[in-house]
Amino acid sequence: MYFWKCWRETRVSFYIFLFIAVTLAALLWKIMDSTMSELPAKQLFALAWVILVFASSALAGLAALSFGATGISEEFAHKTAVFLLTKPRSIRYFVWTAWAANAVQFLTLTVSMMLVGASILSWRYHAPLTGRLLLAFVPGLILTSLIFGMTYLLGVLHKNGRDGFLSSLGVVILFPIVCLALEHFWQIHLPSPADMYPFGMSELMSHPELASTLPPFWPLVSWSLAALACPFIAQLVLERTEVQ
Amino acid sequence: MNEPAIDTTDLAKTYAGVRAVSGINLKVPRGSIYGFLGRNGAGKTTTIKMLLGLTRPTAGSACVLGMDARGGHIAILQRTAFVSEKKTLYPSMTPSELVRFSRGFYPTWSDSAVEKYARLFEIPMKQRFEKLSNGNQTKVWLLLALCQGADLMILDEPTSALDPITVDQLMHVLAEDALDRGCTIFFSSHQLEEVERIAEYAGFIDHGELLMEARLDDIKNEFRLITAAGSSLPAQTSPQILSVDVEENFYRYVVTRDAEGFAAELSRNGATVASIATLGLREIFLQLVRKEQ
Amino acid sequence: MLFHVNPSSGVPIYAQIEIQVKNAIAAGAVKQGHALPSVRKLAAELGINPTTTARAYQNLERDGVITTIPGGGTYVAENVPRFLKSEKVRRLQPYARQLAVEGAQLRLTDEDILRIVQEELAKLAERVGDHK
Repeated sequence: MYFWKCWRETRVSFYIFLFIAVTLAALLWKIMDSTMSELPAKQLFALAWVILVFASSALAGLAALSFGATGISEEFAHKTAVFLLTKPRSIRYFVWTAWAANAVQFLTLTVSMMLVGASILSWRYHAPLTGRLLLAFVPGLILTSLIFGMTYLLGVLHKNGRDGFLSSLGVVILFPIVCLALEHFWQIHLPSPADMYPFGMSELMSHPELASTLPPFWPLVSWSLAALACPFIAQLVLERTEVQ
Repeated sequence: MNEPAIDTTDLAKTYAGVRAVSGINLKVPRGSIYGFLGRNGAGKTTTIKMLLGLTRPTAGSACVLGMDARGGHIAILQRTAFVSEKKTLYPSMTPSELVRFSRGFYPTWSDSAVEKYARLFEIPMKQRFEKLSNGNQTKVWLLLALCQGADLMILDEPTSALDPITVDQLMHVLAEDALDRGCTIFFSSHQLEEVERIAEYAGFIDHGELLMEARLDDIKNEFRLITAAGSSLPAQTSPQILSVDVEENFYRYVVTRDAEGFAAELSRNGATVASIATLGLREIFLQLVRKEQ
Repeated sequence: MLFHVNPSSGVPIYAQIEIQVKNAIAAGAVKQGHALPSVRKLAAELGINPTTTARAYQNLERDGVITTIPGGGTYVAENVPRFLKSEKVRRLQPYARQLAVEGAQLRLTDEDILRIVQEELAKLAERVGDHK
């Protein structure tokens, strides 16, 4: 029942993002076609792949912020927490059900965007889709899932989805800046989701064949766990909160 | 099943140094209708929240339907219907959708009751909740509570936004429900007339303390207001003296039993007993609250 | 018969109903065999708790004022002397005590108090006579 209700509330966002994804895809297609037709097909494919990986991650990131900002935090914003939490289910049930409803939509959107994009490119440039190529999407998937989880948790901490969205956006913008500054000035390397990417975007643009490098294993695992830890922390926080 | 529906022992709650509720000992018998009375901010809602597991008590314990409020709170919620003081619900859902949402949680849900009460209270079932008037919003909460098939109904100010006709209908429905299904009804209210009509028990809370808990019939039969003039008369509360109000040498007592014996005792000690009067809830309420001031 | 109750009064609601039934019978306004509304119906009419009307009816039945036929309704009873004289005296005593206390509080003489009682008895006899 609760799953159904959460789904209902976010399905409009779901369709909006779907629409944006399709539009963006069409746009990128046009750009690829017009600007880079002089390059050989293989190189074109590799380039297009890199662009797809990063563009889909960016859109997925936005979706992560949006879907993470609803769910249990909205119960507090709308003052329906008293109604919901007097239903015979544990807080754990509600936190995870809302998270799951949003996660399903978010992941469906993200994964299909990536797979459809991959299939289109593969067809367009007559290049086979290897497992390694597909693995290039995994860091983006985990990173955006982490953003989703973080937004969800921050929404719970603020007891407000919108503030969760803004805080999370703040982290997404500031964290890379802080990491870069620490690295540049004090040579301190802060563990960050960037560790999941074996190569940066500029390197890949000049050597697109590097796109099929395997991402490093442990950063993938640890950041996945971090993504799952977020709703768990949200549950622990809410179990200790007084309901107004 | 003779244990009380609600049984609290020294239940207390302190918020940031403020004692919202202190040492409450409620006993609500099964199948009864209990009116929980008190002024705004007296601690009614805080007490109710502790019974439902929405707030953790600072001290003491509560036993609801035989289960501990802390450990068994999901099991309690399964059999308890609740109407909140603030009548907010999901703004974009209609009453029909809210019914659909709620019924999934309760195996004891009654669809026929939904139809019956929606018609009786004239609830617009297809209108978005945010567009409903305060009265209709309250009615939706009541509908969801009444159709749940609960063993205990905890209602926090259920009549505050309702017109007198609807209040009448509601009181009737509650009384019938209690009788037919043996449901216990615990409701807080300011409206003493409603409580006097259908409640069998009344409890008064003020400044977080339970000042009185008694059967309504006992209040009418035994409680008396005795006014006397004299000096050095008893001025402390006791099991028999619920409240005493002294102004110069006029004493006003609310006694809980044997009013005549008490009056005779006063006379023997040289006081002049001016009157022995019966009491309704309003007079008791005012006497108890005045005593606090 | 028409009932009216005041929930805020110092008299319990069930007692108010009993008094009204007894008054009506004593004044001859309702006769033996007159049908009374059911417990639930009366509760619904008066907007009160059915346990209250049930209690009133139980007391009235115990006192022999009304009888209930299972499945058939509630009626004003035949005037069968159910109690011994000593029992009747015992039942009247609380009212007499109340009267004595009130009278003493008002500083009335014994004669005044007795006269008031006799006046009431006379008025009652008159009303019964009127209804015959």
